[in-house]
Amino acid sequence: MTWLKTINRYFWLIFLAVITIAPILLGVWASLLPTADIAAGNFMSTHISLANYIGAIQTTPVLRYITNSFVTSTLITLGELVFCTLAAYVFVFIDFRCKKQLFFVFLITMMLPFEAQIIPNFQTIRSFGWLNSYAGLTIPFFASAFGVFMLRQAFLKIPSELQEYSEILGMNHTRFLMGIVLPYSRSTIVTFVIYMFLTHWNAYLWPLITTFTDAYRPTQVGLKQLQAEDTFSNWGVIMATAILILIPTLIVLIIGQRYFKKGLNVGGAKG
Amino acid sequence: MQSRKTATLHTPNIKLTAVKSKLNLRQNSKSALWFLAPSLIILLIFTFYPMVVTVINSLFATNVRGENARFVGLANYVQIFKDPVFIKSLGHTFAYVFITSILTIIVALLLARLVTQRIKGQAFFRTAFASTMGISAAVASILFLFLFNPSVGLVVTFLKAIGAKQTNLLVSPTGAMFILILSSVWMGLGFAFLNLLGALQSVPESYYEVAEIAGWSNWMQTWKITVPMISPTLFFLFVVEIIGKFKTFTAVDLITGGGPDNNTNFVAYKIYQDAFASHNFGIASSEAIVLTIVIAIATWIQFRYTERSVFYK
Repeated sequence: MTWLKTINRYFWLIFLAVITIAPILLGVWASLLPTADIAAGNFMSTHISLANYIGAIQTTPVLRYITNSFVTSTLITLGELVFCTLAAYVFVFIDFRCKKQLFFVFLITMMLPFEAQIIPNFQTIRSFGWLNSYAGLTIPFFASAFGVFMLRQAFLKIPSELQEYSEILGMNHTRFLMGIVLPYSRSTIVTFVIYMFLTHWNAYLWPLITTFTDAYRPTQVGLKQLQAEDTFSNWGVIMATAILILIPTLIVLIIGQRYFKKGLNVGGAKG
Repeated sequence: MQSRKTATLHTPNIKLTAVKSKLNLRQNSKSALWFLAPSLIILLIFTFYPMVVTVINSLFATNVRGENARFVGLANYVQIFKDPVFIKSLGHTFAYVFITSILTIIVALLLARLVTQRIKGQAFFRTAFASTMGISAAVASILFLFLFNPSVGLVVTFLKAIGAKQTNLLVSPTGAMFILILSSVWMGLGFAFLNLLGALQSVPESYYEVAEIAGWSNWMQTWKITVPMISPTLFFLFVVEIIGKFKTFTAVDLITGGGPDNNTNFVAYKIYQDAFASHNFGIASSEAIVLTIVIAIATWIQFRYTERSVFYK
């Protein structure tokens, strides 16, 4: 009765796959339907069109939100990459006193939830005049203990011979870092960039507190804004907006998929 | 903590050794120590300073202008633990965190088991089950709000069709909690699934083949072979899930707003409300310290007992 077992297995696989992607598929489907049909519960409607997407782009600031998210996520990712690379380099290639202790200081920051720091951080940003600005949205995230650990792991894999040769060749730190360390750690750096970009694209709490106008509001908070403003429950347009916000994430994930497959499944529980 | 062996050249060539000692990157370190400065400055301003301020704020009563008015010692802590809303918040957060984490791991394990067995179309199923990984909490919340919307939601339509009395789940305490747990499990599925899939590949196929011959059911195989074999990954995932879920904010803000009757007013959301709606920084700060203690303990367990944790988060 092996074939019966196989059929049983496929039944469950297909059933569970459908359940898993159903919320996304229904969202996509709803984004293609006229709101009148959604409101009437007519989900089998054949009036499929991109009208909601055109409506979302013309009547909501969704493109502005996407631009803001793109600018902030890119700035943070670049800043983080530079800052974390420099720190990880020191922890791997330089010997100095109190290295262990300093590394422990970095470790500790991973135990302190950002949610517990929002009040003083809000006041700091306000005193700098950075409320509702790209600076306020990005600079606090330029340092990341997790990022340092991730790059440190990659740098540790660099054979010590390479360092010896670089020394013989008379390379200084900058040339060794740029010419050897970074090219050697390429795949981890790609994973780092994808992970950080997605994390900051999906950020919610900090932008919610520090942005007040559409000029700086990023996507996730923009979604809340649209959903809260919309008194008529225009679900078609809301769904179209949500899907538009989701598309860049999916593109990044598809590009990065082959790096994630290498076993480095970074990510984490979302809050 | 690993440290690399100091580079040594095993060569009799005296000239080379001389060159080396002059240019040794490792000892020529003074200049490179500045590389640490950017990260340290940002961490000082945006992590350590705020943490210290939060501790100080938690010891002061806040006046109407949001300033520390007078030192009250631990009175804020006494007050929050007497506050039925905070106690409820804490209890419901714990319940939510544990139910969600356990459910996510169980479902992800079953999916990963189904996918690792030799099947056609494996790549498709893998992509399908991993697909929730890139979805943000905000988009997921909007999707679930739509599914459970009392007037147009498909779930509600279904509930009506089977004759359920209560169709607006958001107004019932268990219903609101149920939606949050469901959306959270769904969101976390991709990450847990991919991690477990990786772990399952390390379990030798032959174990299952023997079990198959012995006539063990799929459930028995999963429970008696898979679970013990991948227990480090299961533990790692469990701790990571707990740390993440304790900070749940987005879904509460978008789906339930903490309601009904504070039933889903989880700790992170309560802190936000007390700080930015009531402007009671003293109370919010003491709640934030309670959250910090819980997260710090969980993270410490993660560092201490799961070797991968430091490196893979």
